[in-house]
Amino acid sequence: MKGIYIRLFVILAVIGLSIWGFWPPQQKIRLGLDLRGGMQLVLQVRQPLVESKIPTTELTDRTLEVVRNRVDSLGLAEPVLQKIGQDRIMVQLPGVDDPDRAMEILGKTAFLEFKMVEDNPELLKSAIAGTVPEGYELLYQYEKDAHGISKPSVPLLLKSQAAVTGQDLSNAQLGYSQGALPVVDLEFNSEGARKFAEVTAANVNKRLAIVLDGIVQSAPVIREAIPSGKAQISGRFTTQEANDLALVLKAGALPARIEIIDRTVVGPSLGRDSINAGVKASLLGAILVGAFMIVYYSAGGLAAVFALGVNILILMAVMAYFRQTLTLPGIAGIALTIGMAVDANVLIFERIREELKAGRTIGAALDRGYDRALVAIIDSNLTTVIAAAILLALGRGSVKGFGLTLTIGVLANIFTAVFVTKVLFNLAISHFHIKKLHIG
Amino acid sequence: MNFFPKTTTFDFMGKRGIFFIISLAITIIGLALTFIKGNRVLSMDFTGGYLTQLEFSQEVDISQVRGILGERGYSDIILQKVGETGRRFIIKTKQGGHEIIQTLRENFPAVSISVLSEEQVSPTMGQTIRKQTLLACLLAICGILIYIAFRFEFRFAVAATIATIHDLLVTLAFVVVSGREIDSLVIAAFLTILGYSVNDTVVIFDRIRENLRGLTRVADPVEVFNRSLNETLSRTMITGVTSLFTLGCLYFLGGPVLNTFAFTLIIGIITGTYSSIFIASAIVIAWEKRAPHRFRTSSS
Repeated sequence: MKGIYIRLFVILAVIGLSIWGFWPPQQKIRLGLDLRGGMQLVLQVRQPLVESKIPTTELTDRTLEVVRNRVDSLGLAEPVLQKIGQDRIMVQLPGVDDPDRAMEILGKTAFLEFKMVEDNPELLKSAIAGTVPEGYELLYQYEKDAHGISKPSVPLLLKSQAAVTGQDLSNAQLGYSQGALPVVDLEFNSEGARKFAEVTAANVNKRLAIVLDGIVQSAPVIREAIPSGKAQISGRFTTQEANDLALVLKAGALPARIEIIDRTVVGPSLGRDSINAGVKASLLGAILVGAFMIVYYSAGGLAAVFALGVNILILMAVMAYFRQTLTLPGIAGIALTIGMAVDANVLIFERIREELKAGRTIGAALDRGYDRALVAIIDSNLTTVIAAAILLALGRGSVKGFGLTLTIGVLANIFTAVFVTKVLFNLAISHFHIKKLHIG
Repeated sequence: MNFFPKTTTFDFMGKRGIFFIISLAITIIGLALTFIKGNRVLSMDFTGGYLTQLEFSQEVDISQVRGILGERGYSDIILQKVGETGRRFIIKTKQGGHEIIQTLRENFPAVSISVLSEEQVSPTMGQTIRKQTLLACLLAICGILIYIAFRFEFRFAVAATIATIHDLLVTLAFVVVSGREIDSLVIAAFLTILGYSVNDTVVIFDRIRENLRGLTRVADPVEVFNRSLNETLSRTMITGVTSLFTLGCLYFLGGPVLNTFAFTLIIGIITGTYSSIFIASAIVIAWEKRAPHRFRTSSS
């Protein structure tokens, strides 16, 4: 068999790359809250500054949904969010690297408004002096001083009535201005785009202020009407700040103010004892399956166990590379992957046995067995990948974690079960001149 | 070693009526019981419950606490360590925690236990997440249906989908009848069963497709199906049994928290294996008997 060494090299390269990818595992594999524990925050929901008539429990429910969106956007798998009593929310976050940043993202009200600027210097002067005209408000643009502390610097007189608000946003993402400075690109939905077009058309050469949580971010001059429904917030952002702001804007404004009243470290939600028992039981199960495969299929079983090991290596490396979090449902996905990997090998070996029974030579039985089993393996694995990918894309929490490991695992399986074991067999036949195939 | 030296000749398709009735009966009983029990089949992940924070006057072992509560029948609780001292615990329960605190005080007479707080908490799997999970699952099943219809035949796709839903419902029936509660881990188990069931069915359909392919005219579909099922029987059994090895270990040694998870999967694997033969394949045959059509015999 030509090219066998190239194939062997490919396998060794994949193994090497995978080990390099997730070594050392304690650092590279992130465990979810259920397995490792994390940080627990208790948030106190307070009525917003603007008078609202929403009852407190409903306000807490709405706030909970927004906080959940924000936690999801942080990319943390399996957070636990619960309403406690009437007006508090408990958030448990797995393996948070930077608790301050997490609190910053969770706590930001993120109420975005676009307001027209009144540029009459007389009115502004009297407003600063204390008499703000009816229907207007005085807000400030902030600047960082020499110590990096934000202080109000530029006063602006704005119409109280917002022209457009963050509720009409359809998307927000990190972008870069022409000067390569980080900005937040905004996109409005059709309603927002219509309002935005109207306002900009009616106010050419006037200034429009972008206000976030009562602080003016910038107040650019409207050069021409903007019908596209696209806008940009520029400020003195770092890339991280612009990115976080985009996340928060996309997740929606908090309907209430929240305050963090407690912050503590919690153990795994499954309990350390359950995890230890689970790990022991799973290892024993894996050993039993491996032992069975080797006893039942001898050398073939050994090749299958090796392929299975490579499969797990690839899975772990991909998880580490994309900085994904491993949760218990994720482990369920791995268990199914292992089941399907064993199944693929069983399919192949049973097929080879059938071909041998039909009186074919070892080489012919091997080739035919693989060829025929291949169709079944690819169809069954692709069906599973389709389902798993949908769960990964649309599921939340535990469903997502399950879809993730299953998608990666089954894709790796198509490679390991079909390619890796066959190379091993071919190598054995060509190299050791084996006359009898030890799978029976 | 080889447990299946000869190809068997079981008539799997002959008795399909009996198996349809058995499956239908289990499904209906399961659904009926689920509706009667209502919210009682759901764990506090779905219903919400009570959160109690306790502080022990000295460090205690979490497995000891769980062991004591487990003996008294409080297996459906979430026990979590808080802070770094090893003395504070969060206990989440469906009902209020007064009895639990009483039980703990009796069992740790030397340790004083103070209750820091006890409060009502909302479900972690609220309405919104539940809807999204259901939607994701339905779309996943649609994806499977389309792929199988494309690679096999529409009839096979419908049969595989029914078999998959059957497996989920039968497993639900066993979970409910056994008095266990559905928590977020059981949902993960259901997803696993969905994957296993489809995989098993597709493997068997693949052999049927292969055996149909050589034919110019399918004179006796029952014979072709039976032959295919017998040819793949050794693989069906070995894959099923190896899966049960691992789950058996988890069921007996995995501790109380993972027990229901393992139980659900064991039922699902058995049902998934059964349904590939007696539901999925049998539906295609039953359909053929009612409305004969031309099987796709050329390669696709």
